[in-house]
Amino acid sequence: MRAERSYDVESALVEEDLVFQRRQWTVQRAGWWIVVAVPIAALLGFCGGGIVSARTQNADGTHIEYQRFSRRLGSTDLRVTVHDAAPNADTIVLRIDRRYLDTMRPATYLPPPRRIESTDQYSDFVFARAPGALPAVIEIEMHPKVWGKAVGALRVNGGAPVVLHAFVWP
Amino acid sequence: MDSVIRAVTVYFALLVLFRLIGKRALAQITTFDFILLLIISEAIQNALIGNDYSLTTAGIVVSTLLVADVGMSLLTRRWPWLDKLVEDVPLILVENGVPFADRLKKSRVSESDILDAARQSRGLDRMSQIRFAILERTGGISIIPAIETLPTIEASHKKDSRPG
Repeated sequence: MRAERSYDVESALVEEDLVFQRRQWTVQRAGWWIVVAVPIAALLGFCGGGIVSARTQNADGTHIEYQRFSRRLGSTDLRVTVHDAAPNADTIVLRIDRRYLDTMRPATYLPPPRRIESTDQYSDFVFARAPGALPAVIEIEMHPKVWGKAVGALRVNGGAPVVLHAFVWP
Repeated sequence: MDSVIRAVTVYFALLVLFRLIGKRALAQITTFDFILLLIISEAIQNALIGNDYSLTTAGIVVSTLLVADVGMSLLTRRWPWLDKLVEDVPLILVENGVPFADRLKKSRVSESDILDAARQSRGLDRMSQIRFAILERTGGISIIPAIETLPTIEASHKKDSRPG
């Protein structure tokens, strides 16, 4: 086999451009790493549904699980587990900021809320609870409305706010 | 509006992806490559149209893709540098029977690929019979035979075309 050469008159006859070709090979090799990185990042959960994406926050006896990454036409679950509600309370109130709800639309609820009260700042989702039945688990399936950052606070029964940070891919 | 943006985004994303994987990837298409193409198109379909299965959306997406493609071809005619960027450049792989090892490796082409092309297009069976093997912009390999092999090839073609 022949080693690489610098220039040949005959190569000009087929419009060869070795300078461009070499640059292209360099870019292609860099590009392959990016292409390989995409499925690896997806497996890890950077596009939702993996170890990197799963997020858990605790506040005032409440355990909140959600996905930090989701996709515009997909769905993402918000799971709230209440360990420490007032013993005689027959409701659990989730207060979610309007700015979060502007980017995420609650689609299905488990259990369904007894009522929803909305203002221009937040929405209160009021769930029924059998007295003494703890922990109470509430699951809300969210559908992203737009892509980009989704940030907003969630409070359970007027407790300390938990700030939800998510990113929605196009 | 959304459909047009989606179609243009998908067009350019595919253009970049297929340029990154190189021109040899789909030039000589096998049955599996064909199935892979069908799966890719199926995967892209939802990104193109979302949840809107209307005729209007299909029309918008198809028109946008065609306009993008025709527009790109017009731009590549106007600017040669863009033409190289989008369509690639030809590359000599073999000269006077001697392959360029580095170019073959970087282009992911083997000597047997070249001999395949030489057999199929020119009826040649040895590397020494090849004056030039060129990896074309389309990803195919074209073969220019060595001058001394031409009379042999012509004679063989005449023999093949003789009524039997």
